[in-house]
Parts: sequence; C-alpha cells; structure tokens
Amino acid sequence: MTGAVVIVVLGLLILGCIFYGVSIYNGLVTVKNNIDKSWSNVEVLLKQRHDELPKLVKVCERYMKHERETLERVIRARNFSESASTPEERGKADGMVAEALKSLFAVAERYPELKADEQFSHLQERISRLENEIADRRELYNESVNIYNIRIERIPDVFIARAMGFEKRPLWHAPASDLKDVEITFSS
Amino acid sequence: MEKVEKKEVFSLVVGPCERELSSLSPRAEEGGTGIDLFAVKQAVNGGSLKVVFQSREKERVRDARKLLEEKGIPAAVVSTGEMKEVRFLFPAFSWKEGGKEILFSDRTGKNVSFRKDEKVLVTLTSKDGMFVSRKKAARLLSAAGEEVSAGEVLSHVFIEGGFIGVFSLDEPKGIVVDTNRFDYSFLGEQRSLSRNVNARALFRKIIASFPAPVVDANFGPGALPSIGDGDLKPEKILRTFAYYSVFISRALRNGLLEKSDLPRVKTEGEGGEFYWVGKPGRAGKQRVAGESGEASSTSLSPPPVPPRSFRPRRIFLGLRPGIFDDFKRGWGLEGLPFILRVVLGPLSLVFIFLAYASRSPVLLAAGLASFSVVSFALSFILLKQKREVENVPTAKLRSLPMGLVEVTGRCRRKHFLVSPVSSIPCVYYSYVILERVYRTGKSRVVVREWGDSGPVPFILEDETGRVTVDPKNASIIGGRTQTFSGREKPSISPGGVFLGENVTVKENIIPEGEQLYVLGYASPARSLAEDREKKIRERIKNLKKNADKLKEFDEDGDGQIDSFEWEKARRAVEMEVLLEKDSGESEIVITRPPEGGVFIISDRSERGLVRKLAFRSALTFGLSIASAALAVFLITGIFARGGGP
Repeated sequence: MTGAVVIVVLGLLILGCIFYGVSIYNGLVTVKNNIDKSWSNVEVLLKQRHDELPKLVKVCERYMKHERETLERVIRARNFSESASTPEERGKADGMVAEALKSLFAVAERYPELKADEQFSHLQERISRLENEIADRRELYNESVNIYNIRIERIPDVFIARAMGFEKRPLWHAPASDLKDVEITFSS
Repeated sequence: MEKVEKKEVFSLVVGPCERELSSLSPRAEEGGTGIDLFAVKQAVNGGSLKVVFQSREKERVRDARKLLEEKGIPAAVVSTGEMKEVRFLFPAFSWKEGGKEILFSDRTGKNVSFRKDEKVLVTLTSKDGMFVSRKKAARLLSAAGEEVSAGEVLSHVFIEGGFIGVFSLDEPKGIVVDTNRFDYSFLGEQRSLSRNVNARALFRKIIASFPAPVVDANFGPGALPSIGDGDLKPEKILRTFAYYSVFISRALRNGLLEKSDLPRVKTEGEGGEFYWVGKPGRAGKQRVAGESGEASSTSLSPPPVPPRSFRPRRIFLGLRPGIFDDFKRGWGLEGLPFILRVVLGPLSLVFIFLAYASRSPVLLAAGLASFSVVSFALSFILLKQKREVENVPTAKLRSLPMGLVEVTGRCRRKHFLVSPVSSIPCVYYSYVILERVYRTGKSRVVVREWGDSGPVPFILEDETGRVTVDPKNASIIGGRTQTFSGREKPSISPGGVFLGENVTVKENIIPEGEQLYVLGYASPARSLAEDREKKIRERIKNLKKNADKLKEFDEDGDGQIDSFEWEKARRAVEMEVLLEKDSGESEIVITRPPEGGVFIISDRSERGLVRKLAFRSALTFGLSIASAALAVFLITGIFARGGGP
C-alpha cells in the first residue's frame, strides 16, 4: 500500500520537475523575444521621427534663409540613419539626428516668425514628444535586457540557459557625445 | 373576513433622506426586522421612493417602519387595499384650464377636475415603459440640490410617445394621458408637428399649473417588486403604469411627502417649481453605487455594466457559492483548460460532496484524484502568471507599446462607482452578506447575498500619462477588506446599509487613488479600420443628401444616378477617406489578451505579487500531491480489504 503511494508521489514530483523545466525554458524564450520586441518598438518611434524631419526642414526653409548649414545637418543625419544597417550604426545615426535637431531648435529661437508659425510649433511639439517616448522605450528595452541577463545567470534557470546556449545581451548606451559635460557661460 | 386580511400585502416604502447616516448610533432595544439591507441603502441614499420590505403581517411592517424612522429614515406603509383606484383608470384626451381648476376630459366627454392648489403627483414614462429623458437630464437632475432651473431640466425630458399620469395627493383620483392620442389644440400657435414637443409642452403646462407637484420618472421593470419585464408589454403597460402611479401617490399621501428630502428643482420663467422623485432615466435594475448621495457632486457617467448580485438559497458544504467566483477572479482559474475548469473541477467537488453524504471511500478517492489533477494544472497556471509578472518590463504610460504590457500607477474612476457598504469612491468592489442563523440550539453562518461591481473600466495614471483598463476577465488580486457587523444590535454602515441583528457584511474594494499593478494587453480602443468604415458610412450618408455633389457623378446627364454611377460615387468616397491622413490619437485600453492569457490587476507591489503567486503555486502543487497520495492510499486500502470496490 505504502509502495503505491510512494510511487504516485514520486511520479507526480518527477512530472512536476519536467513541467517546471519546460516552463523555465519557455520563460527564457519569452524574455529573449521580449528584447527583440522592445527594440522594434524603439524603431517604430524612430521611424515616425524620421518621417517628420522633411516636413520640419520644409517649414524652416521658408524662414531660415541664412541657416542652410543647420538644415543640411538635419538632412545629412536623416540620410545617414536611412543607410544605417547595424544596431551600432543606427545608434550613431540616432545620436546625430538628435544632435542636429537640438541645434535646429536652438537656432529657431532667433526667428520669431518661425516660432509663431503654427505648423512649426506643431512639428516641434510632436518631435519633442517622440523624443521623450523614444527615451522611455529605450529604458524599456534596457529593462527587457536586464531581466533576460539576470534570468540566464540565476539558479535554476542558469542550467537550462547554458544547456540551450542562451547568451548575454548588451544594454543600450547613450552615445559618448551625449555624456560630455555641458559648458555654460553667462554673459556679464 | 380573516381571509381578506390575510391576502392584503403591506409594503414598507422609504424615501430620500439627506441626513448623515454614519452619525447614527445603534440602540440596544431595536430588533432584527428582516429588511433588505441593500434596498434600504438604495432608496435612502438615492432619490427614489422604494419598497424595502413586504409582509402580510401588518404589525411586522409597522415595527420595521418605526425602527427606520427612529434612525431618521423616512418611511411609509402602503397596503394593497389602498390600490382600488387603479380600477377606475381615466384616459384623458383633452385639457381645459379654468380660473380655479384644471379639467381633463376623455373622448366621451366625462371630466376629472383638479383644483389649482391641489397637491399632485405627475408620473412619466416612454412608450416602452422605460426612460423618459436623455442622459444629460439625468446629470442635470443629479445636481438638483444646486442651481438647476426647471426649464433647463425640462428641455431634456424626452417622452417619445409615452404616457403622463396626474394623480391627486389629497383625494383618490387620477388621470393618464397617452401622448400619442391627445388633443393638443389648447397649445394654439405653440403646437408643433412633433408629438414629443407637444407632450413636453403639456408636461410643462401641468407642472406649472400646480403648486410644487411631485414628478416621478422612475417607472420601469422592477420599479415595484410586483413589476417585471412582462408587465411592459403594450397591452399591459398602461395598467401597470397606473398601478405604479397610484402606489407612489399613496406612499406620498401616507407621509413620505412631508418626511422625505425630495430634491426640489427651481423655476426659471415658464415651467414651475417641482420635486423630483429620484433621477429620470433610471429604471429596472439600478446600480447600488450610482444611487449614492455622492452622485450629486460628480459628473462621471454611470458604469456601462450593471452590478452583479446573487442570493444563494442553499449552501454547499458550508461554502458560499461566491468562493468559486473569488477563485476564478483571484486564483487564475480562467487560465485552466476548459475540460478542467468546467468538467473535472466541479466534478471533483461533487464527488467529495457525495462521499461526505454517503461516507463512501471510493467516491472520496475519485474526488481527490480529480481534485489532484485540477490543482496540479492550476499550480502551473499560477507559476506561469508568476513568470509573466517577473518577465515583462514595466512600461511608462506615455510611451505604452501595443501588446502584453506591465504598468503601474494610481487608479481613477472613469465611471461613477461607490462601494455599497462603506460608500467609498472605488474602481472595484465585491461584498458578501453573512447572517448567523439559530436553529434547534445550534447556530451556523449562511450567505444572504454576495455580489460585485462587475467589470467597470477605470483609468490608470502615472507621472507621464494615463490609460484605460477594462477589467473584464481579469484576476483581481488583493484589495482592502472591511467588515461591518450588526452583531447583537442593528446598526447602519457608513454607506447607509442597514445591518440587522447577527448580520455581517464583508466588503472588498479597490479605492480610487490606490497604486495598482496591471499586467495585460494594450491595444487601441477602436481599430483604424473601424474608424475608416465609420467615416465612409457618414460621408455616403451626406453625399445622398447633397444633390449638387451627386450631380458630379451623373455622367450621362439624365438627372438620375444609376447603379453604375452610384458605385463610382461610393468608390470615390472610399478613396477620399483612404487617402486622408489619420488625425488624432486613438485611446489605448488594457484588456485581457485576445487569445487568452495573463491579465492581472493588483494593489500589491510587483515583488509582493510574485511572492504571493509563488506561494499559491507551491500550495496548489503541494495540495495536488497530498490529494493524489490520499486517493491512492484509499484505493489500495479498498483493494486490500475486499479485493475491489
């Protein structure tokens, strides 16, 4: 009688262990795919910003006759991001676009007529909102990577991760230019 | 003689009351009355007159009325014997205004007159016996305590071929107007082609002619305990409406007009000052929370789904049926395969129940074995939930991606919802009313009623944005539980619920402003395709009305649009819409994933939730093993003893 009970209990425990192992593996696959999905979500917003740039340049051209260099920088950055194929290149291009936009909006301060233009203010607002959303989505991407990296190193997941060849994934880092100290000078 | 008295039913009606019920203290000598707690709460905090108790024992109803009145709740008794007036229903066809009286005549020339200083009740209903006003009127009226003009309110009353009743509160007389069959010639030049406009004008005329009449627009299914859906059929509606009107006029005559704090609508120009009984547009199954006194201070719309409540008659093994619902909601039973959830799960409980009744080890073994399978599966569902909570990163609401998301933030109400017992603004509530019953020296706790708010959508907001959460089929984990008890003394809860003797109400709520964790599926509330479809339909409708535009498609110039030309016009509209850039952003809503899966709403932190789910998973796994072991032990025992069952 006791033997039968022990066999059933052991059988259930073994079955439980198998299911548990499968659930760990499935979980690892999910978190790995979450990373790719998070990055795709960043790219969706980058694409939206990318589509807004020509409209912005077109509006600015009407008022900023003497700022060709600034406008061309935006176009160059946009073209570069279009041709970027690797994640590193895309990251660099993204940094260039952000930098060019910063300069453009700073220069726009000198053109009151441009600032008063409804289309410009609408585009500026939309691009700023997209910038914020891109930053949020990058955070989300980093969190996805972090969850995955922790899981593949944690016991008991580590055994299955190693056996199945799951490898660490890199976090997104801001371009070095964005991390430089900002020089602020006050006019006397 | 005695038989006649036995047939008579006495109804206890309560009216609106502005008194702060939470300040009332229970008194030792008050006994239990058997009053429906939630009906009292509804009527007292809402604006309507409502039957809260019925009995053939006059004394019992009278005692109940005394008890409520001592608590400051306006109450009156109406007996079926007083309803004889309904037999003499007067269908009015025309109106005449004299110096001191108003004359209503029927088609045969018979008259019913009302003195202009007479107190009257004016009742309203639409042709299907339901609502008489638009939503906006209900909102205006919910603020009746503030400066709301009668004209403003009346402009929203929409009778739409319904009935108007006028019943005296001084004498047993009344008339009913079928607004489709009335002579509106008295309106003269103001007479309109629209029956609704005429009916509204008649209604204005009536209320302007009497000093502060009482207006009631609450007729509908369930307005009285005896009125059901079947009474709203065209052949029955007039008599049922008259019955309701007479009943309410009797309740007002029997003291409720003086005792109740009926909302008074102020006059402005034409119209007249009048009292409102409840809020128009309410009828039938009404929302407990929506009727709270707080309605007057909010502009939130009523919830899109009615609250759920159940009154179980029999208790299964001492378990309240609601426990299964709690399980489904809080323990992830929704995620179980259909066969386990619907067949094996209930079957295991039936086996255990039968084993309990018949003392059969075979049935017990069968019950335990099937329970073991269900709990084994459930442990992995819970493990999956735990893993999802751990695996999905927390997103900000401003940049919420579509698909499975995890978000945190404070909850805000999207619809008007207040917990029924504690009267706290909340986004979700559930309650159970328990009563200790004494029988043959023994006592046991039985469930009188249990229910919840149903899936009412709410808003979640963090520092970056907000999103709508539709909690349909969500696992709701946590919430604040509060217990209110009458114990040996009856009392009234802060929400105005009457707690009779030995009655305990347990309430679980997620109050507004609570920090919530939500794991669910984010998607636009409406799809782009639906939006386009709607736009196309609208444009085609407009095109049909625009003759000049249609001419552009009249290629053969015959002044007619044939099917070929119409098809071309339709395609042009479609193309126009498709080429348009979509403007604006559609609202995002978090729901249960369309293909099923994890949808959790909790007031716990992510870490706390993971711990809870891990514990539940381990517990169900342990239970599964223990019940399997016990089942095998019983079966082998049976075989060892007798060689078979």
